[in-house]
Amino acid sequence: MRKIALSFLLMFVLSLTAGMVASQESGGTLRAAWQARWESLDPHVASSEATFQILNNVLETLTFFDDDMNLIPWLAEDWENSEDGLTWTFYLREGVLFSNGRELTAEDVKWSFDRLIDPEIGSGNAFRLGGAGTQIDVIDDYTVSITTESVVATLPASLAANKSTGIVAPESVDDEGFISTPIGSGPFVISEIDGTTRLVLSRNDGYWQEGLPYLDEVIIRPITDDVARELALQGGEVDWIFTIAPQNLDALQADDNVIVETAPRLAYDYFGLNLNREPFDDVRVRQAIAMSIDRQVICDFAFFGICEPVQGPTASGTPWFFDYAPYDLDLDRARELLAEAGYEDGFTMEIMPAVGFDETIRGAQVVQQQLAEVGIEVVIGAVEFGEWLERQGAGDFDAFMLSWLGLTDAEDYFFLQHRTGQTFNFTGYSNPEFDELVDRGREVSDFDERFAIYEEANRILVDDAPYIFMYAKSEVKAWSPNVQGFVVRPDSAVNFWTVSLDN
Amino acid sequence: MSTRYILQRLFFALFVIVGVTFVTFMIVQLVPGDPARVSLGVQATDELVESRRERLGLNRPLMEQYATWLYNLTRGDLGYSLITGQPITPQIVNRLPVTLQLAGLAITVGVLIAFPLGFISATRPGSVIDVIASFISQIGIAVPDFWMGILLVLLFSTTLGWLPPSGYTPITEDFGDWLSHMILPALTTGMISGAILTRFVRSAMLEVMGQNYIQTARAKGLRERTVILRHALRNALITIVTVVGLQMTALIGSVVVIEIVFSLQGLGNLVLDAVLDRDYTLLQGAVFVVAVLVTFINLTIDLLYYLLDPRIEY
Amino acid sequence: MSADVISLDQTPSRTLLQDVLFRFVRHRVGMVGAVITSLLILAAIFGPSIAPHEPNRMHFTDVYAPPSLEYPFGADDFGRDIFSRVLFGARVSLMVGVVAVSIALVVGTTLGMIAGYGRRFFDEAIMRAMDVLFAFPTILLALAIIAILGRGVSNAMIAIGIVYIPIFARIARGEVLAVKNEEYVEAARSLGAGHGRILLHHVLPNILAPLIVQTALSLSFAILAEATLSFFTLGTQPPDPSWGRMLSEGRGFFRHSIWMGLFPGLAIMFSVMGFNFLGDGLRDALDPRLRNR
Repeated sequence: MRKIALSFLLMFVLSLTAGMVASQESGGTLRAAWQARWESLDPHVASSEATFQILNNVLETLTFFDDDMNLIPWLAEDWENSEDGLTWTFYLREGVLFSNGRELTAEDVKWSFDRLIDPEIGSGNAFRLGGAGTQIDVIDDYTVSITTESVVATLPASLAANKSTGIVAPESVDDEGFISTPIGSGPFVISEIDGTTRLVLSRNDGYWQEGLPYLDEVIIRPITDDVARELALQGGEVDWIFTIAPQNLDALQADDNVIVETAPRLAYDYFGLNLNREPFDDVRVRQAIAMSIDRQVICDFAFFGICEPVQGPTASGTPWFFDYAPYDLDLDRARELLAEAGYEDGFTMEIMPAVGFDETIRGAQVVQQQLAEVGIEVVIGAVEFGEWLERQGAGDFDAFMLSWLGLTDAEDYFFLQHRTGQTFNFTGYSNPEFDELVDRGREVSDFDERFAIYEEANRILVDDAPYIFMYAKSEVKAWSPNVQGFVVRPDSAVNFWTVSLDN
Repeated sequence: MSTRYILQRLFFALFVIVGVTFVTFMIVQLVPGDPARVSLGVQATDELVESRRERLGLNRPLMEQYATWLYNLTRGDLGYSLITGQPITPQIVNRLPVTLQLAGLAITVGVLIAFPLGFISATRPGSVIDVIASFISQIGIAVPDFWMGILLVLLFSTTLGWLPPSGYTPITEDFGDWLSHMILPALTTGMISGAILTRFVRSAMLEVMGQNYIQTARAKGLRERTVILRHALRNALITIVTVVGLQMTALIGSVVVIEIVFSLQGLGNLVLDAVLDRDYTLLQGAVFVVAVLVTFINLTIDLLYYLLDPRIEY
Repeated sequence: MSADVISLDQTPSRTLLQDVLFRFVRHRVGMVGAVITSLLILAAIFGPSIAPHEPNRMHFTDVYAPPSLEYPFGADDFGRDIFSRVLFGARVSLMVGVVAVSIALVVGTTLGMIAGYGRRFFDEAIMRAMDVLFAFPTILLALAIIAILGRGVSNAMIAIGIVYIPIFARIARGEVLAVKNEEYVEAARSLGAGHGRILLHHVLPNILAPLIVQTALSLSFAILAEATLSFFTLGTQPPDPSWGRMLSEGRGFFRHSIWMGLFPGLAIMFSVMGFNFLGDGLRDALDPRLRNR
């Protein structure tokens, strides 16, 4: 009886807020322009930014980072860790419906997670759950436990990093085991897919957060050309664009029809060296390269100065910034190192940037000129992103240039790319001392203790230089003045459910 | 005689289309590496790749694959995109109107430029107008279409702000909006094919005007205007129709490029996307449809040619 | 006309050549074309020594410098000299053009001659295959071939070359059909010359004129096609300058530095015009019958 009264009260309050929401310009269609085409929308196959930012509005995770990067409850209302640290138990929110009307329960969580870590599926995000050995158990309809083989102290945060850990309804899978249109519990539903040229997100009317989303529809289309994308926004063709060409920041900020906002970004640009090839197997050569480049110039010319030069993976604005910078420009020392390694006459190397990531191609050209100073002749071999991924995976490169983004925890900066045998360790870097540190970092939850561990790991990594770190970009997004409520986030997440339009 | 000619043309078109099916079918076969692996990405396991190969039918003998592809084609089924797994036919059907509308508008612009200019030049060879016209036409032939498109956007969109630089509104939704989006791309393509057409119109007219019956008509004392309009024009039309027809293949090629410059979601953009994404099945489908389109246009021109001049024999 | 042709067999071809040269020099448009194409070739050969700057050298303090004595065509977003880059671009354009057209000329002419001279079966097989290729707009076919071969300059040359094979095949076949029953061919045949010898020594020299004209015209198409492919970033690799690539990479900067977009485009336009004019001049000089067409 009390329960009924309570739910009445709750409904009353909710309808009140809903009413307020309605007066706050509900409805409307947002026309959004992406910077790249999406690929498979299967969350366990997807790997690109373009795809994950669509899924962001369709799938939901147990935990969530709010706009200030604090970890908050989402599909799970609460969670706890076992004594031995191996088992995490999550208590799910009740009454959350998939967009097809079925209630989301612990079974769905188990199914999604089992599929994510299934080696047959081969998701590059399986590590977020601790890998294939992780055991997921349904305790009851609203309780699920995750038991990892070794302690993963950061599991709740790891679940919020991207939508690969989103809860997807098993009915999304087709006869052949593929997911082409994922069904989730998120604020929007994928209602139309027209190849990779147009995708429509429609309001999920049964969304558990009453009153949200404000928009009826989001129409997404990729405009890969920066100029065309910006002109489309300035000309009112679209209301919101994923990114701008950095060189046009000033021009766009001066335009009254455009709002541009920036935020420090949890990301960095780098190039990775192939440690299985000569001469990059010699740490002196790698260090020589690291101190032959002028990072401020690269930042200025690759990304027009909307960035901060870095010598390690973390920038000064992030919680995981370590003040360690041994690679200030020093051509004499670089030549010495090269001579010690037996390359006083230099050598030729190929840098592989990816087409469509203009800053990498620009950066490669600046690096080419800078490395020529110490006798290293750089050939630039820009390839399409698909081929880039393929060659990176096959170890078919001297150096690959790209950026890492959407990084939140320290583990995302160190463990993923540099731990021996990890999926994204393409350089072939392997240092037992480093491995031990990053393994330990996963088992500790006290921030200060972890900071000390990763500070040491950072020092080893920067000294060993499998990656040459260049700069950390700022996040830039732009929209028209009638778009309200969009927040530019350091993790680059595109969340449309708080967005509304006024006329 | 007439039926024979028509049948001959129909048969020829059919033959070309069959040839086109073979050439486009071979696109997927000639691809280096394994299309199944391309579609699944680096992290795919061998088992997964194998099952995708199975699904795409890549395990079966070449001729069997071709036969299946042809059979599906007759049902309007172009298969599935390697990258997204979406069916290809609806994607192409959605984009076809954009390409056709742009091609139609462009050839209209081209004809509107070329006819008056070509006629005037031909009636007054060597005059100032003739020299200017031929100069403009030479520039039009030499100017890269994508560059022209960029310059027009710089002028009319970025600087003057008169027209939108890119995008598309369906004609059924808002005619004015549709037109404002189509003007620049249609002008770009149209001016270039107009430049080429002008030359042909001029020489066709010159040739006809040199013929006996025109001299006769003149000798009979008919007014020059009558001579040109009633006799020369009608006869020159035949040549011009052929030239417009020949120009259509080039024009469709130009439309492909211009769509990309203006971010128009037509077949051209689809082709480039497919090339860049290495989506070979999608490329196959799009290239096939464009080639069929060109073949149909050529067939139409052949038949039109016959209607204009029934004396033709083959 | 046949008098000319026969004279080729009997007297040294000097008189004919002089004749052609005389006609060509008087052809104003053709001469303009010859001048432009000579400049292009000179730029391609001597570009490196006359360029005021190294084309890939970045001058970080002279970014977006407008045209001046130091930078005749201005500087780009890296402070590279656009004039030097345009000069180097001539090399890429000309090389791609020449190689691609050579492929088309050799393969196309061979196929066309076999079709025109050989048995009806070969004729049908070859020419119908060419008909099928004609159904694809050139740039589309080039894109499809690039998709298969992969990006890069050499693949672009092959793709453009393949695309223009049918044109040469068609022309060669038509010309062979026209001359194969001429007296001098019949004569050679009755003297027991083999097919290869007849084609090479008696047929080829007499169908050269239209092929030369088509070569010049095709060079202009090939330069356009290379620019288009490079514009779609399917041609040269950065930072090596090619005109199409300069336009593609500079596109984001035209709004404030128009010179970045102007000069590479003009370079393409003039080169294409040059070869077109040259082709026109050659046609009129080599084959007065075709005048005014």
